[in-house]
Amino acid sequence: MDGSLEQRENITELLSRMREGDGRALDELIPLVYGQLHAMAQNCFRGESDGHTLRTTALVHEAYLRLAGAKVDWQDRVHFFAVAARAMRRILVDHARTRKRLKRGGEYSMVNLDEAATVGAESSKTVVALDEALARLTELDARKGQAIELVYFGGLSYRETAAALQISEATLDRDLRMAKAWVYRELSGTAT
Amino acid sequence: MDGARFQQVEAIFQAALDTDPASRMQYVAEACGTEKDLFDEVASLLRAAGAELDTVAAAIGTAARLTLESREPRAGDLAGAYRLVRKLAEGGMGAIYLAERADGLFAAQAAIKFVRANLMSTVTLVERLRAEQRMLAGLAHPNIARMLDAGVTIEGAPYVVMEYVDGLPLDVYCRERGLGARERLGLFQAICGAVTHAHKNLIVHRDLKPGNVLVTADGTPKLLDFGIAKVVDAGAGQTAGLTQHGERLMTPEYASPELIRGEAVTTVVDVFALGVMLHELHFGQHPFRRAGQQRWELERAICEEDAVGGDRGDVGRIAAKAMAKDPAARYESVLQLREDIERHLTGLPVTAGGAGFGYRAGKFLRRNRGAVAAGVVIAAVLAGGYASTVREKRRAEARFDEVRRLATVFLFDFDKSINRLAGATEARHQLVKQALTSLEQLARDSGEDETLQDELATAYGNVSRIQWHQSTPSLGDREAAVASAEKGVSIREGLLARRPGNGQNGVRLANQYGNLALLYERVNMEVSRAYLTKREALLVDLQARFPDDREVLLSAANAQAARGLGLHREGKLAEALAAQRKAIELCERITTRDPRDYAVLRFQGWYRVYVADALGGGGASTHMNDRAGAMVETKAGLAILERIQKDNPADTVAARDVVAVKMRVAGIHAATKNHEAAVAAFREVAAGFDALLAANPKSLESARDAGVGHFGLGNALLRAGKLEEARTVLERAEAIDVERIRLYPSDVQPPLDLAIVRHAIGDLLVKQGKLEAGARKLREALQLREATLKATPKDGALLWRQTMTYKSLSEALEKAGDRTGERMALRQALEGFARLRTMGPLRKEDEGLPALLQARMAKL
Repeated sequence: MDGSLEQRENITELLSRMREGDGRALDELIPLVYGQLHAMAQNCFRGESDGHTLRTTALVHEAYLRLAGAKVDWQDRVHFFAVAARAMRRILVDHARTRKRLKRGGEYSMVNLDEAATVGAESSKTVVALDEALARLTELDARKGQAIELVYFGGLSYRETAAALQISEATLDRDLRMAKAWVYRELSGTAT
Repeated sequence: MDGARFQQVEAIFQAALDTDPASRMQYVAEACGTEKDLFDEVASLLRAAGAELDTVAAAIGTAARLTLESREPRAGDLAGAYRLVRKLAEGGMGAIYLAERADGLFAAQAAIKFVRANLMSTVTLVERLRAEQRMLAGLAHPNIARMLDAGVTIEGAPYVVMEYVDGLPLDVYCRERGLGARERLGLFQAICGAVTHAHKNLIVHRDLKPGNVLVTADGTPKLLDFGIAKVVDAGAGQTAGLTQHGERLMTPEYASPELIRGEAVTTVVDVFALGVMLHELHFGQHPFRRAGQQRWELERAICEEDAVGGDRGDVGRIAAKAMAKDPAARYESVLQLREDIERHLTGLPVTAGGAGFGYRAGKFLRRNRGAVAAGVVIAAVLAGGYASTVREKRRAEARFDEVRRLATVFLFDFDKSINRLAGATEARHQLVKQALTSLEQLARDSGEDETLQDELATAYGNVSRIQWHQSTPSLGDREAAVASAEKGVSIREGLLARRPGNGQNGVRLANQYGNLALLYERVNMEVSRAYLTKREALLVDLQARFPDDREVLLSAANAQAARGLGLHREGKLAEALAAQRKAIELCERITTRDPRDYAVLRFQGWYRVYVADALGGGGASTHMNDRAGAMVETKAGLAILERIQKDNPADTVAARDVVAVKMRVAGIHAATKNHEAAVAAFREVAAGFDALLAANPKSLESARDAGVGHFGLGNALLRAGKLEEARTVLERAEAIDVERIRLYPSDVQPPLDLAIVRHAIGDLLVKQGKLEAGARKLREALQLREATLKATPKDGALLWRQTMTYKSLSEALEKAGDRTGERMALRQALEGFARLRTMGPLRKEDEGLPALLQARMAKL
């Protein structure tokens, strides 16, 4: 799956259908983006020792170039990033959940945990807690939930996030200061 | 906290941040007044404001790294209760390891196979593998390696635990032991036996190849990996059409053309794979593989080219038949394939392609794709030679009686009698399984008996309906339903090819195409549309061949109407209207000739009603808002249906049709606020449904109708201001629904209907000042929906009803002065609206409600 011409045309068409409000285009796009991100991420993170580097931005941009090529208009690119953010969230949270289950030991495993597995446990916990907090935030205010998703899972810039949400950057700014405070409070309440 | 509260909190929070830090808390205190909760909420957010969520970003980074740098498993790693000992092989999906129990509970060996599946989450993959393992638990056979468990390692690699088989791959074993032709064929027969056993249990392997057959030192072959290909393929299938080729992780070397093309998979994909294996075992050469070939070249060879390296001897012809490009031209079952090998070994003539004719015919057919169906004719003529002795005929007749009972009386009636019962699912699964086994047997023995084949095709259609159907309770297995329906279709296509003049078969085939189109709707629109096109093409052909034939015209009318309903669902009203009008016109061509053709008249009547629905009738939520036009069309439909009833006074379906359409009339009156007319019309409807129920007091449908009719009348009376009578009528509706629940305690629908009725009664009682009784009814309504709401939290329509009931309850309690209760109900209603908002925009008339409720909440 490395961005054949046919595939690029597909992506471009899906994006423009999505812009026209065709909900099914999104359903078709997500598995594509998911697959691409997943495949690429495996190489991208291999041997990466700095655990604090957020590489999602690079990944999302790279996935975009491979799937869609460079000649798509800016609006469509922003839409693509929004899809990628959703896919990235799904990938990370899904794996974090698997790890949490492993830690609990019950369902999938009956062995003692070794050192390596405990390292990721805290971050897995945080990622799952963030996902849950985001779900609650989305129920209360869908746009704010999406803003956090775009910035943190998709690595989008403020300008791109504002465009994806079709709001001004000033509005995004206010959205984010509320959303961040809310998420921070939720996490500090539940994480420890 | 709910959406409205969140907005309130945010307003203060934002304003506070915009004020000078020194006076910030003072501002908050003033804004919140005496509401301490609100103050605390805002204050805690202000304390958190400005945090950069660095820890969150870091956690995402770490999680990303840990998640995505997943390491290859190696010896010593743990997989559940097992420790990997050494690598046995590297497969297409991942490595296979020998493993032993790590917990020391007992000594045991197993094979651990790591599984990859694109586009599927690990959790889903493992869950599906486990589901598959449970299904395979019953598949005990000496030549099938058991699947023991599935799980995921610490590193997140999903795996399957299998019975460990100490043996060599089939091809290696044959080579190293220097087996001769007869011994090889003997081994092959044993493999066929194992696959047959799996097929009897409705399990298709999909990935048969020499590497998946291990032969132990004592010469026992064991098949590996049953069920895994299905799960892994399911992940690849999600991208429908776009990347399917590249996504299939299994080797294509033994894949059939339909598997490569991503088409529907039936048991004959295994027949194809066995054909390739047989060819390779016997001739020592793969029929399609060449040196230096790209994957796509191999795939094209499999789909388009003839096998190379074979001959015209028995085994060559047997392998060729098993490898036919067209699934319908292959052996219908592995058992038949095995029997042909047996015939060859005992010196009897084989059924595959006599005297080279089939070979040449096969090549001709492959060059002339349109004539594929003709292949069935040739195969049947050839096979016909055997079924001509007297004994065979008698056997066929006995079988025929058996299948007739099974297919028409037993299977469908029995299913109808159990399909709504709780716990019937298991029985229905058994029923379908047995039916399919018998049908497969019969299909094998059907020879050229066309009546029997017609029955078989009908039976496959019925089985498909039980496996999945849009509006009646089904087993919900769409994939299996497609497979059955396609079997029926392939039999009918065979019949059509043999007797193009058999119009009845043609019509039934057209109808079956329509069913398949429905089965594929929303799953794969492309295939769905392809079947609709096939149906229309066939009907055009039939109409040319049988101009003015009743069955053909009717089938064409049904096709148009079904297309119209689909278009209506998609919101294409004008096109829907045109299709329904076309359907009516086709019906009229029959009924002007024979005005007493009541079956067709009935369709004609209902199609007028469908036209009305598109215009603005009571039967649909999207329409053109042409109420007057809808009334005219509805009454025209009604007139037709009334005539049917008058001429057939004993026909309860006709009687029901009339009342049902009268309810549409009443509905249009109500929608146009013509209250008096609506009351009069609904009175007639309620009386009509009552009479039908009295005639058949145990009928679930009649009871539902009667309940709905009385509810409609009650509402019409309410709107006309006749409160007292409305209450009596609604209480009658209530009694009917209570009786329905008593009669069918496991049906989920009656409690939901009863909840709607009780809500209406509750509202009415409150209106009449009977606050306590009203509130009680409303609470009962809420209670009735609880279980279903929990089971289907995303059912927006149901949640909306529940929310509106909470709103009603809050108003009742407000009047009763129960402030605690009112607050509770308000909170629930507001939460309901907040959740509805996450599902989509509120209805226009509801948009202002949350604010109103919020204001009341604030006053409390």
